[in-house]
Amino acid sequence: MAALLALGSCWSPVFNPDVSLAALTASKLSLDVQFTGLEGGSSNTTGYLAVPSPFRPPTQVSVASLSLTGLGLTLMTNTNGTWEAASSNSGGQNYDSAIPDAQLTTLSAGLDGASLASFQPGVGGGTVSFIDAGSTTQYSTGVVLGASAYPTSAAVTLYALVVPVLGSNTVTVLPFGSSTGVPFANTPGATVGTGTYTGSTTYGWLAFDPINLVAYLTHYPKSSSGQYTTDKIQFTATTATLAGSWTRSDRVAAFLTTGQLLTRDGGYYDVCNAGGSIQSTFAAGSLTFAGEYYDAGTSAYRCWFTEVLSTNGAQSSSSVNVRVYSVPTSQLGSL
Amino acid sequence: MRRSLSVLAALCLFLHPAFGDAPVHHMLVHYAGPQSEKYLPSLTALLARAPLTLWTVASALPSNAGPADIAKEARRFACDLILSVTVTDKAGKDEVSWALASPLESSPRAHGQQMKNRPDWPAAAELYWLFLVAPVAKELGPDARPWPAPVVSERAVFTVAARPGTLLSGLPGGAVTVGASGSVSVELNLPVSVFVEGHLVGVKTRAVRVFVDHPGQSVTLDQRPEPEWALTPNLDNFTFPALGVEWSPGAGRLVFRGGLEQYLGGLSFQNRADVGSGAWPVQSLPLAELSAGASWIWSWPEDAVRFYTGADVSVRFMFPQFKVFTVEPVVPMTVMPLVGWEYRWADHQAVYFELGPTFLWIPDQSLFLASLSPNTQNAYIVLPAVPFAVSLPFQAKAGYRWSF
Repeated sequence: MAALLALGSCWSPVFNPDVSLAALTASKLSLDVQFTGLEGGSSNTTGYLAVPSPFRPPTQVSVASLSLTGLGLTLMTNTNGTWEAASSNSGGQNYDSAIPDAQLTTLSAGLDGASLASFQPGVGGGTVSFIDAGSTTQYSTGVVLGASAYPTSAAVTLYALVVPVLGSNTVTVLPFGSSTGVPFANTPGATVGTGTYTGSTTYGWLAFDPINLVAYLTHYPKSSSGQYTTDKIQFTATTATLAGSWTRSDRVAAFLTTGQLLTRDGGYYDVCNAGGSIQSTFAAGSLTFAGEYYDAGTSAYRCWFTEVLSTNGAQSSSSVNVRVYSVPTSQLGSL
Repeated sequence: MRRSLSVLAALCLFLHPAFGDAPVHHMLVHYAGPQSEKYLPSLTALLARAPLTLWTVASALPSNAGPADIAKEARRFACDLILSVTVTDKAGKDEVSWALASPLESSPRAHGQQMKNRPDWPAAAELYWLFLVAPVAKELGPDARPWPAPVVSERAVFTVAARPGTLLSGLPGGAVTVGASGSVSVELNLPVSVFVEGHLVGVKTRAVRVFVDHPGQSVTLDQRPEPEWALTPNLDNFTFPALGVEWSPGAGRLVFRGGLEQYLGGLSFQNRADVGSGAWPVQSLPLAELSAGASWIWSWPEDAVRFYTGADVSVRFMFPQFKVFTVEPVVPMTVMPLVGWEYRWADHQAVYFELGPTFLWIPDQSLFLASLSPNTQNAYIVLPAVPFAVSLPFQAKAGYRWSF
């Protein structure tokens, strides 16, 4: 009886809330492409994040993996149904540099594939590091709070908010690239805005509205009740002022071309208006918002969601399936 | 003493020829008096010796038993003789009254009374009864009137009353089913002890042992209807508390069952004692199952351990963060064929154990594989060609069944 009790007490039913929640919403999305049989990579891989590039065919996806050896970025290509990782010998698309002990937080589509932002916890807050798609160099000119992509028809600009010195209250918004061929990240574009804001703790997530020059920044630390505080900061060319703030269980994810804010609350995404009020909620789970792009075929903006599925419950020896879904941005509120 | 021995020798010579092929007499000795543990053995010992050489059996009746009871007792042991002896105290001496009778006759054939000094135990105790040898031998001798043969057996009808349909066992002729009349009659050789068992689905029939010693005897079996409903709190895989309800129409073998298995709270112990040592040994998942099924009880209601087989179909519901309540899409449904045993230690109360494989319906195999927890000790085999996986080891339930 003791042995049975011991065996049973280690038992739990097959259930992963993230996978199940994703399945609820995935049935309402278009499955654009699916990659199967990707090797899990290094042992002890614990997390994946995938994102397609709006400038590449949907059969090319950037995959970030987190392992004990760090955080890596790989551009994966599916040719005739075969999944292949572009090696460093074929165009320098294999970004296997690593950030030790990083937490995977943001992966944003860029001009030349993808860029990666990660949050590295540390005493007094932490450091956000940035790996761009054009270089394997890891750098942090100041502290990068995060990356935010925003499509304008066929062009996509990637923005980053940088705090020059950790603890400083001055923030700068930098456009990191565009479809016009500006070298990504190596030569940051003109400063969109810089100024003083009231934030006093480290920010972890960023959404940027380049039309109205509004940044939505969610503090990384949670309150004692487990809630996040999100600041809405209005930029001008020379000033940054706090235009609003709210404390909830969600954090910002993206600013959409519909003028809505997408936030993440555990296993769910919330669609909010520009003021932060929640308009609708849909299940997300292991679905990750991977960006918004302009679909010339339908002359409409669509949102990409990706899902990385381990074939054996994230065991180290498992292989990985990547699924890329899309849905018109205008339909997000009805999912 | 010499005289007594002379008499005994003469009796031996007198009785010996007549006893050659004579039928053996069986004698019931009914003793009433003091110190039966001394008087009675010495008496039966004397009767067993030559020249009487009687097979005796001591009456177990109380000393004040009447002639009818004594005769009945004699028939029970197939005795053709009854020797009743009464010893009473008379001024420090024993007054011994005796009678020799047949259980089939209304009056004794011989009787007498005698004053005796009390014996000096144990010396020569048998000689105390020596005065009985001559009169008894006389009644058994060749010149005596023949004694009626002992009633070895008597055919009589014995009736068992029970609900129609009750399967009776323990009666001569094998198992028999009670018909619409509500009773079964059989002929028995009396006396006889019968252990009657009855089985009828839906009622609990108590077994009974009956001593049948007279014609026309009958017994009505105690049969009580079984409850149709039961509550079954249990531990799913010894981990998660669950609750079930069962309904058996007419308390028959077919049982319809339903249950709620919740996974919001369950036991969870680490494989290593040094991991998570500060945490409560609990686990919680926003998942629940509603199950429905049926089982078939193969055992009788009277059996202490009952065996049954069945199957449950469960629909899984999830409610992550309590924002949705919907069918869980990765494994929407499970099917569990099962075998079960229950042990009833009292009316309406039992513990049970069920075991069986769980077949999981997996519309999307990739989602199922991604849902496996790397920490679980369970293994699953994805079946080929069909969208099902089966869990290993088998799923088990242990619980308490309260019938009402």
